[in-house]
Amino acid sequence: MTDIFAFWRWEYLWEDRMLFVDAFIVTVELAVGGLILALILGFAVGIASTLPSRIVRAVTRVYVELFRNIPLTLQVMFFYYGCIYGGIPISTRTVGIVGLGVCSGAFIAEIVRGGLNAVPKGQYEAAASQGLNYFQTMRKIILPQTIRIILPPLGTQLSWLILDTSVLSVIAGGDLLYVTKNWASNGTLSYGPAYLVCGIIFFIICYPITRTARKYEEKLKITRGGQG
Amino acid sequence: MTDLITEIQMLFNSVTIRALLRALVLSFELAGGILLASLCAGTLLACLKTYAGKIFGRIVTIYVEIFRNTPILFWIFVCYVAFPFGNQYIRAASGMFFASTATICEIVRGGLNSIDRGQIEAGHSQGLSTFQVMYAIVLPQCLRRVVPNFINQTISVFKDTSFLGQVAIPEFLYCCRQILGTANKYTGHGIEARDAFIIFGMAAIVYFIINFLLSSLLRVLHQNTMTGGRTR
Repeated sequence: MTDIFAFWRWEYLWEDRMLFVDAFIVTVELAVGGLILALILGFAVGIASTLPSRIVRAVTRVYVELFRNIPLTLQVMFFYYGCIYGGIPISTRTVGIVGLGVCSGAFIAEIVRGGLNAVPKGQYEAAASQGLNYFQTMRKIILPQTIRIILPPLGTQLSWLILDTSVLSVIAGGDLLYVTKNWASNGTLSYGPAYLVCGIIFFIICYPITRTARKYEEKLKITRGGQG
Repeated sequence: MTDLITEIQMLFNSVTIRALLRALVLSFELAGGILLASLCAGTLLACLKTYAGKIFGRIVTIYVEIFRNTPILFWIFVCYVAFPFGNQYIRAASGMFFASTATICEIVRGGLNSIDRGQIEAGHSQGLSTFQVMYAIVLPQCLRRVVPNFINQTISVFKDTSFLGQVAIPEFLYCCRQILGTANKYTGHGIEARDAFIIFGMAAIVYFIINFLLSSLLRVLHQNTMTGGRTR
């Protein structure tokens, strides 16, 4: 039943191709929505975690540790079943976008914090001595440098976010992996072709991202090594 | 408030607590087994990639790239159907094992690259075989350096055991979900939002405590190796 060389299984797959296209679109929507939310949250929390206020830093710490240490599966289930049994109608897509966004946001916040800490203290002082206020310093001096440093880990994080859309299968989220599994196990048991296609789609999306991130990181290392 | 406490007491009775503990032990066993197996396999692959010539290197690279760019849950589903031997536990866990091996291979490779090639040559010049050089000189140093990354991987593998419930392996989260599904049996009324909050909240606390302890261990170790490296 895992035979990928049986031609008729591929014919079935081709007949139901629109199912997979729709699922792919759902996965892309989840990834894009999740990414936007994660970037907003991640940068906000990451920058907040370098503020001098103790309380703000404690709150960001709690957020980051909480969402990094609890499985995404559980976060999604918690959110989904909490709403469903609470009588709040909620679509699996909303759960997916919020779940992915909040969870990846915690990881991105750590990346941003690391990047901000990597910028030497003297830069802040130099900016202050030029009469720039906090926002000007951040926008013109610190963030441009930070973003250059954190681009590679952000790329890796993006590919993880795309892979994590598959977690939505646990609440029947209609994402690519869920549809693949359902299609294969309900109809003709054509596991082989269905999983092969699903895996290739994920690989085609994620491989360029991780590869670019790694290449860029190597380039960054070389240029910085040259300067130092 | 007392209402909530009685609800908690009804949900966590002797039957469910025993089931939860059993499930948690199973999660530990699965995570431990997967980690141990993938540590061995990943180290082997990393050695092959670094020292065993171009063709092996290529093959390992392809393996790593494939498994790092596809979802773990995908491999669990695939291996559950396609892995040729073993019972359902082994078949489901093998998917995670393959994915984890790829990650650990990358981790160990980073450690191997940080070790000076001169050490290997020095070992060879002392008449040690390649195996002896690896076993006695390179790997001990390398593995010590990658301990922090390995703990990170431990955390993610333990978190990912929650995927195994998707193929009906009775791990911790699967057990929680079952208790929620049959909550009316224990509480005497229909399933409410607070039941979901109590059960998943408990699960979240358990996962958090375990993973937070691991990451705290990581921080302590990290500081130790940092200062240790400087003083030595």
